[in-house]
Amino acid sequence: MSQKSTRNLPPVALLGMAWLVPGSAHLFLNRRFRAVLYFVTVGLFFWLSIALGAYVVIPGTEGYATESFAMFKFLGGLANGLHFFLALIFKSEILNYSTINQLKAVLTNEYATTLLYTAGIINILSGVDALDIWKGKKN
Amino acid sequence: MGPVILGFIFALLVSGCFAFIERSERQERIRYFIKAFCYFFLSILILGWLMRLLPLN
Repeated sequence: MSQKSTRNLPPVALLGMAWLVPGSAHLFLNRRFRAVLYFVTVGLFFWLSIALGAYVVIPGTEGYATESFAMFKFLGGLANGLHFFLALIFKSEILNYSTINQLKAVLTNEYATTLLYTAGIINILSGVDALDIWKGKKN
Repeated sequence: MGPVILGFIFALLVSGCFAFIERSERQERIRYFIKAFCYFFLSILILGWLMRLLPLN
């Protein structure tokens, strides 16, 4: 990707790209190693957290109204971009707990939920990193 | 997969990401990565060992 074409992209689009597909903005900015690192880290952490029984907070579902800081928890999941939407699409297959209490009773539930938010934060930070590269503050 | 291996992978990937986010020079980045990885992994080992003392059963 030439320097000129990367400069033509508005920063909001770059941030959106970084959020939706982790590592894509770095790939666009020709930082391949970083792109792979962010893609693998966010993807691995997100799906590992789902496998360990993370509680993905979704508005309009059972327990959303009674959940404390529900909006922040939802945003924490949403920060994972495409992975979050994939989890929503295949939720009947992967989020297969009949009740929230059953999910929260899973031994690794707390660790998994923390890992889910960690993946989200890394994804957002990778977007900020991409923006810094685009601005020329970093190499 | 054992918890130590999971902790190792976690420390490795998070340190790598933080090194790229926090530092811009190659040498500084490597130094930061090694330092962050050691802190993360040692913390996991020490806290994991201490948690054995908790009455979880």
